[in-house]
Amino acid sequence: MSAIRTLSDEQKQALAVVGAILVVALIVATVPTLAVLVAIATVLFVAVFAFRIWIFMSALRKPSMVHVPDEVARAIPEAELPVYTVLVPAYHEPQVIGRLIGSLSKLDYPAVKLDIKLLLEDDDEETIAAAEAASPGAHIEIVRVPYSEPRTKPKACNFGLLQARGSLVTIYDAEDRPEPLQLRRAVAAFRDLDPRIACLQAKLSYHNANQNMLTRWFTAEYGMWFMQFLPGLVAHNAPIPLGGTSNHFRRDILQDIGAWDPYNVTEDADLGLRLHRAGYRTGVLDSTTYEEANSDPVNWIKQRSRWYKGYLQTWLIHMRDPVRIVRELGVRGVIAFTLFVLGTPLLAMLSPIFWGLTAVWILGRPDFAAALFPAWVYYLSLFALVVGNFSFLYLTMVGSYRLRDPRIVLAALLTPAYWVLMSIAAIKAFVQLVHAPSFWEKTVHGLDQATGHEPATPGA
Amino acid sequence: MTVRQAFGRPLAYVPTLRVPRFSDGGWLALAAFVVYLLTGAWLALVARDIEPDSWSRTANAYYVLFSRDPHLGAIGFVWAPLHSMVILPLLVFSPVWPELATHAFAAIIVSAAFMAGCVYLLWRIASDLRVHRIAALAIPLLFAVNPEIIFHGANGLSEGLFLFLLLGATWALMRWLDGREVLHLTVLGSALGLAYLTRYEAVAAGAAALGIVGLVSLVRARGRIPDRLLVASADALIVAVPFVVAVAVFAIASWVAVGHPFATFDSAYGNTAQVDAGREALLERTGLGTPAAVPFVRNQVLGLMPAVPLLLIVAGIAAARRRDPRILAPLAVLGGVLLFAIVAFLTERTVGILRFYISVIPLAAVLASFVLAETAHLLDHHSLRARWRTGTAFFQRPGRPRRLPSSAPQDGRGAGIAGGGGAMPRGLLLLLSAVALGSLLVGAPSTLATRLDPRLGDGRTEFGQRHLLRAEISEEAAGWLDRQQLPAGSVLLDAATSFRVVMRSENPRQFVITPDRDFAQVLANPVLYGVRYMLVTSPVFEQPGGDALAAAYPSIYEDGAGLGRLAYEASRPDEVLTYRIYEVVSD
Repeated sequence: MSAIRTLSDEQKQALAVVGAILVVALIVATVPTLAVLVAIATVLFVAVFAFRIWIFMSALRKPSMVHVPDEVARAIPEAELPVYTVLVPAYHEPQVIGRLIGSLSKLDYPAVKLDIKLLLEDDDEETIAAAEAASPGAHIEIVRVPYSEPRTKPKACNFGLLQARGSLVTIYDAEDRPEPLQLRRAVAAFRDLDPRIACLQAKLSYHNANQNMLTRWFTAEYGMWFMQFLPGLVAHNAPIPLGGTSNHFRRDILQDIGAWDPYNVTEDADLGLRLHRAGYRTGVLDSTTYEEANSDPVNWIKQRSRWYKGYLQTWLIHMRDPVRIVRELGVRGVIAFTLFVLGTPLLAMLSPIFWGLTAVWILGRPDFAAALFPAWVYYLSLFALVVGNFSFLYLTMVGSYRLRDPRIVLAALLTPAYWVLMSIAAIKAFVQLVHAPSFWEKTVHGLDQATGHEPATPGA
Repeated sequence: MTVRQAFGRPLAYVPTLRVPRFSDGGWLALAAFVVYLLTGAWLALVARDIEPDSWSRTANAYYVLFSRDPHLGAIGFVWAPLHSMVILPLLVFSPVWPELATHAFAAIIVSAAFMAGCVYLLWRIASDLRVHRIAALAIPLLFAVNPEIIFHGANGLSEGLFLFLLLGATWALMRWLDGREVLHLTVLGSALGLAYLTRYEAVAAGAAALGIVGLVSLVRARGRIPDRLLVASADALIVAVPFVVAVAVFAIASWVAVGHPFATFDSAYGNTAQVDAGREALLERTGLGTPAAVPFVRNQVLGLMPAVPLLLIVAGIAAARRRDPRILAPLAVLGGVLLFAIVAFLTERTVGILRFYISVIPLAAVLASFVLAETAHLLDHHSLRARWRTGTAFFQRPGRPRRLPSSAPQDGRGAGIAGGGGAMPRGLLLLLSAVALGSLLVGAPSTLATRLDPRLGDGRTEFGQRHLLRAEISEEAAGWLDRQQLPAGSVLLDAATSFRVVMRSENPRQFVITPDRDFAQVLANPVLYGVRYMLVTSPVFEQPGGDALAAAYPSIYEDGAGLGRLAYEASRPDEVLTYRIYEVVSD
C-alpha cells in the first residue's frame, strides 16, 4: 500500500466505468443527472457536518486525552528513561537551525539518553553548513540523507529511522518548540498504557498565533482539530490521521508496519491509518508543541493543498481493497475514516459550488436552479446551509475557546473568510492529485520573524 | 499514581453531562408526562376543548405536509416557528391516527412532554444545589401539580416548550457560574436561541443572561482591564452567536414567507393587531393604558404565585450568605421573561392573558431550591439518627463546625450554611424550609382561584363548552365540501381564520390556503384558476378587517361581492363564528 501509484488498476477501471455512465447520463438527461449529483453532494455534506458535530460534542463531554501530571513525568528516575530518538527532517532551512537547537536543548531529558538526528539532504549545503556552524552537542547528530527519489520528508525519516537507537521515536519539524516535559510524559504514558497504544500524538499549536488574522484562524482551527476532533475520534475508537509532527512511536511497532510511505504527501495521516488497521491504537497526549503558523496566504494555500491532496491520496490508497478495510476497521470505522479523511477536502471543495448556487438563487431565482433541487434536497441543503455553516462557525469558536486566548475566539467569528482559502486550496489539491500526485509543496518557515521570503542568516 | 487514560473511558477532570438512567427526577417527570397526556386526551378527545392557538400551530405544521402546495414556508413564520416544527414530525402519523391533526393531539403530546421536561430540569437544578433528596423531589412535584402547569402541559400550547428551554438556559447558566465550563455557555446560548424561536419574550432572557455572563466574566478575569474586556467579550460571544443567529434566521424566514422580518409585531395577524382589535373590551377588563393596569397585572402575577416576593428576599439572602452567584441565573432568565411580559402589557403591547406570566411559577420553584439548599441537612437521615441516639435536643445547633465563606469563595456547592450552618438556629432552618415549600404549596390553590376569576383568568369552571360549537360548524362545513368530491384547488379560504375547516376535511388538497405560494394570484382571479367555492368567515371573527377574502372583496360575506351565490352556511345561534360558502359563478 503506497502512494507510488494513486489509483490501483481496479480503481482505474471503476472510475472509468462510473465516468462513462456519468457522461452518458449527462448527455441523455442533463438536468436529472445534475439533480442526482446535487442530491448526493448534499447528503454527503450533511453527513460530514453531522459527524463532525457529533465527534466534537463527544470530545467536549468526555475529553479522551492522555493526561500525565507534571509530577508523574518528573518522577521517572534517569536510569529508567529509555533512549529516545528524535528525528528532525529539514530541507533548505538554514534560518531555523539555531532556534531548533535552542528549543531541543530545553527538553527535560538527559542528553545521554537522547538520540537526536538532524536529517539533512546531502546536497543541501547551506543548511548543513548552518547546522555545523551551530556546533550542537554530541547528542545531536547531523545525518546526510543520500540523494534518491522521491525527495520527501517521509523518505528522510525512514532513512533516519534505520539508524535510530531509541526504543521510542518522535518527529519534530525544524521550527517546532515542544513543551519541555513532552518526552518524559510520553515515556510515562507508554509505560502505563495498554501496550496496543503504539503512538501518541501531542497537541499542536502555534507560537505566533497573534501575528495576523490568518495565524489566528489557523490557530483556532488547530485548537479544534487537536483538542476536539482527534480526542473525539479516539473516544469512538476510530482511526485518527496523525499530525505532521510530535507523534511519538514505539520503534519496534513503527518498523514492523513499515514506517512512512515516502510517496504519500501526508505520510502522517496514512501512518495513523495503517497503525489502526494493524490493530494498534493512537492516543492524544496532553502536551503541546508550538509550531510556526503560516502567516502568508499564498504559502498557506500551498501547505493546505498538500494536506488535502495527501488526504485524498490516503483515502484512495486505503480503499483499494474495500472488503479488507471493512474487516480491519469495521463498518463504523470505515464510515468515520471516510467522513473525516475524504470528507475534509471534499467539504472544502464542494462548499463554493453550494455557496455559488445559493447566490444565484437569491439573485435571479432561475428555473434551472429550481430543477436541480427537488423538494427534499432543497430542504436538506437549506438545513446544511443554515445549520451546517452556523454550527461549524460555532464549533470553531467553542473549540478555540479552550486555547484560553479570547482574541482567537473573536477571530473565529470571522472564520468564513478562512473557508474561502480552504476551498481554493482544496480545488488546487484536486487538480494536483491528477497531474502531480507526489509533488511536495514545501512550506516556507521563518516568516514569523523575517519580513519576507528571504532566508534569514543562520542562527538568527 | 498512574497515568489517567483515554481509550473510550471518560477522564475525570471535566464534569460529564451523563446522568443515571431513570433517576428520581426521571420517574417524577415520567409520571407528570402521563398525567398531562391523560388530561390532554380527556380535554381534546372527550371534552373536545381544544385551544385555538394550539390548533392553529398544529394546522401550520399540517399545511407543510398535507396541503395542495406542501412547502416549509407554509408554516407561516408569523408566529415563532419552533413549536410547529416540533409538532410536525408527529403529524406524519396523522393518516393512521387523524386525531393527531383534527384534535390537535400532536400539540398535546408535545406540550405534555416538554412540561414533564420542566419537572425533570427543576429536579436537576435542585440536585445541583445539593438540596436534600426528598426536598429535591418535593419542589418539582409542587411545580408539577400547579393548575396552570397541568393545564398548559395538557392543552397543547407552546408554554411547555418555552418553559423547558428557559429552565434549560437557567440550568446551564447556573452550571457556568459554578464551574465556568464553556460547554454550559454553548447550552445556554442554544437554549436561548431556541426559546426565541418559540416565543419572542426570550429576547429579555437573552439580554439579561448575556449581561450576567459578560459582567461575571469581567469581574472574574485576571489582568488589566483591556485583557478582561477581551475575555468577557469572548464569553459573551459564545452565548450571543446562537441567539443572534436564531433571531436572524427567523427574521429572514419571516421576510421571505410573509414580507415582514418581524411579522409577530407588525403584520395583520400579529400582536399589535390583536391589541388594537380588542382595545375597548381590554380597557374594560384590564384597565389597559390606565393606572388600573398596574394592580391588574400585579394581581395576575401574585395570583399565580403569592409568595414570590418573600421567596425572592429569602433566597437572595440565602445565596448572599453562601456567596453563591448562581442565584443570578433564574433571576436573569425567568425573571427577565416575567418582567418583559409585565412591561409589554403595561405599554399596551399584549392583551393581559394570565398565561403570559407563567414563568413566575418555575422562578418560584428555583428560588425555593436556593432556600432549601440552606436547610439540606435538616432531613439528613444520618444526622437525625445521630441526634436521636445522642439525645441531642431537636432544636439545637447542628454540631458541624461552620466553614467561613472566605475559606471557600469559589465553591457554592455545599459551602456555607449547608456545609455546616452552625450560626443558624435549627428553628430558623425549619422555618425557612416551611417557607420555601409552603410558598410553592400555596401557589396551587391561589392559581386555581386566579384562573377562575373572570377578569384575571378566563373564569372557566367547565371544559368542553367553549369551542365545541366552532368545532361542530367547522366539521359541518368541511363535511359539506368533502361531499362535493372536489379536485385540488377548488375551495379558496383564509387559513388563519378557517384552519378548523381544513383540519377537519378528509380532502385537504381541495383548498387554496393563504400559505400557498399562488394564493395572491388565485385570490385576484378565482374564476381563471378554477376555484369553485369561496369560504368566508363572519367579519367580526378574530380578524379586525375580516379575513383575507374580505380584504380583497369587502362585501363578500354579505352578498358574495358579485362573485357567486351563497351555497351553504354553517352557523349556530350562540356562536360569533359563521362560515358562508359561496359558489363561484362564471359568466
